[in-house]
Amino acid sequence: MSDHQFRNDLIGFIPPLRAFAISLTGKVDRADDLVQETLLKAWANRESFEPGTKLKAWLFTILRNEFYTVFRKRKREVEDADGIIAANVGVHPEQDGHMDLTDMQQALGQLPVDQREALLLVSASDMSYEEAAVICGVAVGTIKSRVNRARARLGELLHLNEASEFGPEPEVKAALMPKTGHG
Amino acid sequence: MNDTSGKKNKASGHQVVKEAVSSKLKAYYDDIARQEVPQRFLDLLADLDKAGGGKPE
Repeated sequence: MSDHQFRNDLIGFIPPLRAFAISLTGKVDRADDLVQETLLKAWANRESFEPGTKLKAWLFTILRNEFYTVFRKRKREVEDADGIIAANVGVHPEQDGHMDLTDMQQALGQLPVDQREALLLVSASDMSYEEAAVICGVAVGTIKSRVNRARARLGELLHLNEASEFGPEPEVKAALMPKTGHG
Repeated sequence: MNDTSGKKNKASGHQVVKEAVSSKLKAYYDDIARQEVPQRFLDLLADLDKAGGGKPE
């Protein structure tokens, strides 16, 4: 793969990397530092990337390792990363179609970090359980149970589970329905 | 009979919650992913590409 091709491929993966990093840390500036480190490391190690394997999974692995390196270095920030995520994620005013972005950030911030990353990889980043297991260096079963626990907890935190035994409430139904012109 | 349908309702309730969580998470996530790529990253990669080799060590 030429350097130029590699560069273009990296650019294409910046949005998913940022979404992962911002959701993981809850802070745009920290997330963008992680993305920058990831790009630098990926570039420096581009010879060791095997074309044909998944670049996305490779990049996510680098970002995640970088996250934990920083995470461990700054032990004080553990509480921060595991605590309530500051509501400073850049939300454009025109995105008012989704009113609950902040609720989601705060809920994610209350999940243990291992559950949060598993959920983000599988439910948001379109990784398979197997890919997520490789990225996190744990068994597939561990990823599955983390995702399940994270989802259940998030459902509680977002009050999506209150009517679960009686069928969906209008609010839940609305969340499930694609937005259409009418209604 | 009643027992079975009760279980079924509960199971589908869990499924509903699961899907509601996933769809909300995805909407949140995709909103971030749709943001414009910050210029600093494009500049960084342009510089690296220009520098060619640029291998550490």
